[in-house]
Amino acid sequence: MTATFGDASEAAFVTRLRAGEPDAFEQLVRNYTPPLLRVARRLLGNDDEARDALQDAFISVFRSIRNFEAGSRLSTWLHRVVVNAALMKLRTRRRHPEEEIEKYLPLFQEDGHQIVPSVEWMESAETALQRKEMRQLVRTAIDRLPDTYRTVLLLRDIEEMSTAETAEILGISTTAAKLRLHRARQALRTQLDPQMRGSR
Amino acid sequence: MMLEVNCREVITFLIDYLNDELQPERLAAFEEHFGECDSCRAYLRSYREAIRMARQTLAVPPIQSAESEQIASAILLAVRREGKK
Ligand SMILES: [Zn+2]
Repeated sequence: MTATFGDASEAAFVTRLRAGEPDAFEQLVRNYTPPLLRVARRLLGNDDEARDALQDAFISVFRSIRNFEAGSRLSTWLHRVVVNAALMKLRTRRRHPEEEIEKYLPLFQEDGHQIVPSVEWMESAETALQRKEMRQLVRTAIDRLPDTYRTVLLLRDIEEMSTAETAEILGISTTAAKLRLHRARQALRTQLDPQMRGSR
Repeated sequence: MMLEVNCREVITFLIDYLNDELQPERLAAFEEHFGECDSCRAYLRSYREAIRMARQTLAVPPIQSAESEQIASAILLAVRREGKK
């Protein structure tokens, strides 16, 4: 992350922000635009929409900075506002109802065995991703995940945030964040499996 | 008696295994299961591979500082206009 402060300097900076110092707000926008824009781009897959979401987020931050609770980290709070702005955009643009994640989860027999046993994939990620169709398939598979699951996958596996921070950004428990991440990964794996088990 | 787990439990709690969050006894049972179950071993490997595929596919080029400066300036203008309303 480009903009991290030590605890003491973050507290001092937050005080300046809450006092409405224009320089402090400008510094906030300049420091946090790169990491927040990256998250918005990944969530929305579209540069213009990402920029709009980021702008909406900073307007909302500007209006509510007085309510920022010193208890959470500034970066976490900002991510939370941006993720919510991006999710709002996703909701407005969606034309079809979201798919159910359950249809991509493994099924088991009564004795606990998988109904369709798993087999080894024939290629590594690197080799498979050399093919354009494969890269497209991964993208489509991620896009097909319900928003709440895709968001957890992006924050945890792509942005490499901790489960605790992801949970705080999304306003859910760490248990819920972990469960959603596991399901998102399973659903992704299920969608890639037919190609990956079949290919040379 | 040695703890035993079946495929359903292994796959359901796979994330705890990967996060290193299983109790020692349960961890031993998982290791034992992976040793003898081809299907769960394949599931584990492909699960990890799926994560790597997502990571590599969604790698975005770093945002150039000129671009980011320009976007930040435009946002600051918009905030000054909108934020006061
Ligand atoms: Zn098994």
